[in-house]
Amino acid sequence: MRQKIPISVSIVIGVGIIVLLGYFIKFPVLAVMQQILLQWALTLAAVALLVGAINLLNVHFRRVSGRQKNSSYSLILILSLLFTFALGALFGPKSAWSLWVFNHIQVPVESSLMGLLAVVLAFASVRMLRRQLNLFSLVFLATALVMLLGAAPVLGIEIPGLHGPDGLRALIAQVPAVAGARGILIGIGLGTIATGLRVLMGADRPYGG
Amino acid sequence: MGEIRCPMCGKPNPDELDVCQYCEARLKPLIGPFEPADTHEPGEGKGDSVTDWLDSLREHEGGELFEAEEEISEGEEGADESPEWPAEVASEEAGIPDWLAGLGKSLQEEGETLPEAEVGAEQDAGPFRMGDLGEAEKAGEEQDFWTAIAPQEESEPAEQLPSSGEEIPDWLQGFGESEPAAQVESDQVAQTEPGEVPDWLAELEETAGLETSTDALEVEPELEEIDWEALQPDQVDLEAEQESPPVSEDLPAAAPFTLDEEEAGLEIGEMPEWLAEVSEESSAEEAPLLEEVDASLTPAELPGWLEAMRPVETAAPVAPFIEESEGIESRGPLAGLRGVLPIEPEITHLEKPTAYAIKLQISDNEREHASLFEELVLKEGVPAPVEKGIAISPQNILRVVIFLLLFLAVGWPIYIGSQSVDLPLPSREVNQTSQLIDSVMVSEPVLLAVDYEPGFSGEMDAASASIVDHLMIRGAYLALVSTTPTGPAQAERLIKTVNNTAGHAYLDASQYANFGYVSGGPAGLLSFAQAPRGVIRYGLNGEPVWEAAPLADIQTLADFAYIVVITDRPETARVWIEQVQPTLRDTEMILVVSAQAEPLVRPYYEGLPQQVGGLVTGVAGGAAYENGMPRTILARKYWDAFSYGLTLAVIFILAGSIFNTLAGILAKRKYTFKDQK
Amino acid sequence: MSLENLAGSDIAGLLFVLVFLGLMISFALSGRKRAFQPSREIPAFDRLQRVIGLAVEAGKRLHLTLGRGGITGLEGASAVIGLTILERFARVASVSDRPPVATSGDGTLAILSQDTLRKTFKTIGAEGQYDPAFGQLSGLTPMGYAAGTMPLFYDEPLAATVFAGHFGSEVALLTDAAGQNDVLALAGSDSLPAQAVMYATAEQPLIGEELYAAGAYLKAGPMHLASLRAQDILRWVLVLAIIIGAGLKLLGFL
Repeated sequence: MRQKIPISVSIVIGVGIIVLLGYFIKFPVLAVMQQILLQWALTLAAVALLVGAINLLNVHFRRVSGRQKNSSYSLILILSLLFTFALGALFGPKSAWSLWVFNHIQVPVESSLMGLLAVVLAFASVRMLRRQLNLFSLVFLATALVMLLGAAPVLGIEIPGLHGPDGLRALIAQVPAVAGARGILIGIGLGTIATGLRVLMGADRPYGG
Repeated sequence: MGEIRCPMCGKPNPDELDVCQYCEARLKPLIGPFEPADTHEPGEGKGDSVTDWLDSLREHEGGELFEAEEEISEGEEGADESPEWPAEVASEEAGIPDWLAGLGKSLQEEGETLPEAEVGAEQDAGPFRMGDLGEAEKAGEEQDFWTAIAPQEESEPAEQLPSSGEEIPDWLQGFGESEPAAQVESDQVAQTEPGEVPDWLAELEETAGLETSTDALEVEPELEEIDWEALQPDQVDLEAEQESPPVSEDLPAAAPFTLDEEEAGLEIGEMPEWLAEVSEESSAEEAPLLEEVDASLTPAELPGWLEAMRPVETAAPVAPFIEESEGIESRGPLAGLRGVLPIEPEITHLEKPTAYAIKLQISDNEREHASLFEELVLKEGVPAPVEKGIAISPQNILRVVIFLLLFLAVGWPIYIGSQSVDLPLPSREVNQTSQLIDSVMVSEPVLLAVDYEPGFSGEMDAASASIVDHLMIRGAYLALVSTTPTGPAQAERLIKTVNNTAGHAYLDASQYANFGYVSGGPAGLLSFAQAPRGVIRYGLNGEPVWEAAPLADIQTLADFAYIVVITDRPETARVWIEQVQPTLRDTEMILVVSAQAEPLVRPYYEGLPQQVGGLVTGVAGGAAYENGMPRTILARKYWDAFSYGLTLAVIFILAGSIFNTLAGILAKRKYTFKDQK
Repeated sequence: MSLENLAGSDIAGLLFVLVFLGLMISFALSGRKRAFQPSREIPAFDRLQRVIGLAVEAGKRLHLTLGRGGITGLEGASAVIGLTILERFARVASVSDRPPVATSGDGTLAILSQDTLRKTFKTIGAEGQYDPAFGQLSGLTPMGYAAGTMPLFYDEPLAATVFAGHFGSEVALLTDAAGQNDVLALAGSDSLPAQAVMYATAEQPLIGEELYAAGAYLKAGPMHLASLRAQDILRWVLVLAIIIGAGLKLLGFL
């Protein structure tokens, strides 16, 4: 029995093949088609950002209307979003008001979370060996300590062999770390190709087709 | 109006009835030439399908039957005063198959008589207790049946079984235990005849058996004196043969009762060899049966049908009574034949009901499961106690301690403006970056991609501020662009920060342009690299950015003097390198990245051909860059705090890891020791 | 199409992709009836399968977070893997009274997660269970996404959280929140900084490209198994090519 291929799958396969071939084969017609399709993708990606913001509003609005737990924070989020949007729409994204909100609210909040991240990572490092005590964990921790110590002078003192362009820290960062990262990236690249080919073949359909 | 005696209960019924009005047994057979002796003259019959010898037999039976009925009617008179429930019991006793009832009837017709005293004695004897019935005719019937099966059957209690060592059939052992099944089986056995016996011979056997068994059933004590060996089938057969009237001349020559040549040549009374062998075998089986039957005749035992009605308190249900259809027909033209189809269809035969246990049988496993289930159900209604959690756990205390220590280590040097720690020396890549920017001419367009998140502002501002300052010192026209939504605002913030700290005045479109956000990730970046005017038409405030003089000749990204990418993510750096760098031709790309991205970006710098002309990594790279600049901006301000904070973090992680590891090992040992204990 | 027009074409790259495609198709066709025999055990997926069953029994929710990468870049592949895991979650946990919830830091991913859940619920005949709130956008920036996802660990009874997608170092905040609330954290990403953080903070980290094997280990389909096998083969091919190339370079032939 012939199985019908949905239109969405046909579009995905067709567009994917054109863009993929456009990368490998330098053919004028193919390049033009690739450009057109990429332009459409850029527009759709920007629209998706807007749709995401609307989805965010919808989720928190439902929390507020449903009087769920911590819905007061959702109300603050909704009001903040609308206020910032109004500021940008009225005065422009480059205006002093918009930049004031960004510089005095968003940057400090996110920087604080980054500072919190430092504490969390330090705490996690302390507990890591208790959770999993093995050779890899020991090597991981030792490497992290060497990189931390070698990033800046220890109490103002540069330790020979550790600091400097020829020190241990530079050696680890430029040789084993790069090699390991390359290997992982190659594996990730293969996985990315496999995933992309599955989507191109229609075997994976994250788009609901 | 004539009367018909019911073959079951023996009560008189009008002859026009087909079914007894007392016990609802059939009065007239459905099939067969049998007719009540009351209404039919001997010799009368259908005649078409009945041979002469059968007719003669019918005449003989008819007379005997008539006589037996009269005898039964006589005995019945004394039973009229019996209570009603025995009558009901009798009606329920329709479960006794008709062939059994008919067999008893025929036995009575053959002249068997029993005095009332004998009947009364017989009532207390064996498994066929008649005391509850209180009906002589019932006793007579059972006695007739009993005598008929006497040569073949023994019904005795298990405790009275002979100790001769003979094997006792299972069905017979049950008689002593008052089991209806055994009772039923005994009935069945009574109807089975071993071997293939000619009909006339079988009839003779029954007659002889009746005569001999009649004597055996007189009084219980006398049962033990019976010479059961005398009741061997072969002997019985011989006797039956001798006593039976000669009927060989009446035997037809046609089937099914045609004798073989061998048998045809036999004289009356002479048994064929094959029949003798079969008879011997059956006698061997019947002998112990006879003994068992005899021994089971104990006083005060219930009859079989009454035993069957007793509730059984055992686990296993008793198998239902299976009617034995292999009985010997005792009357009619088919008398003596085995396997005769019943006159009435089986559906009219009521079977003995199956006995089921009245108590629920539960095994130990099921009882255990049931109690467990009950426990679970009861628990549902009981609220589980809520464990009170610790308000401040040791983990929270540890986090607070870490925060306080780091805050002090980082905050104090910034607060006091400490600059005691020396800035690092510029590395090769930092020097190369500085040389590239040194070659920028005034108003040369430099594309500045600000692709880091606000959360990474602390590190990236410190890493990139000196490079932006250097570009401003060189008078480059900065074109700001970003592939993150917050990038344009971050770019504006960076320019303002450098303006404020370094004293520059990059404020309007004559000095820099903000292209805004390029969506689409790598695809968008590739499009922007190939046709930037097509992707970006207007600036962040809606102004036409390409009208500025430094950007008038820009057609592709390769027309820019340099591309400086400032990002915290290695993926963004790779995308810029892999998508944009191939289109740059001679334009150099400079990367300012976070320390976490260095391992992934460095190969692009150190590879051949070199895809990245300059590389500045993290706060240390920014501090090294500032070390070569005439003035310091942010890295110098953060460097002492950065150094002290890192040192404290390392000490804390090291000490905490050792402590936690030892604590974990000790806790495991303690746990293991407790287990062993 | 003439040969001149093809000058500058990356034929080697095209051939590599075609070989990959051929291997995947051939393995998919030949291995349709064969049971999946993993070359090595990944404890994280074994644990995940057990936790899914326990979550359904305990009436707890499963949470999948897809990260903050869109589908237009390299990080799109890990997002697709995350959506595949989400689809498996929705199928398995459909008998639970608490359907799984998906959070993300990108608008495209939020839409796709909703679409995946709706499609899955429709397929299993539980369309009534679907709620758009099950696929939500937590934040538009990385830190905003982390801040928007963290309350879920404190407000919802979660049995397990799977991190499958593109993350940054901000994932440490999420894994720490999961640890504080006794929620099993199974974390995998295509980002190296995130993997380093996950190794230190998550209970069950997926290192390297183990995340891309999720479809095969969760039995999402024969093509997932086929692509995993093709990956394994080509990985060895690349290893050999690197070793041979480095040797030739060392010897001066290149």
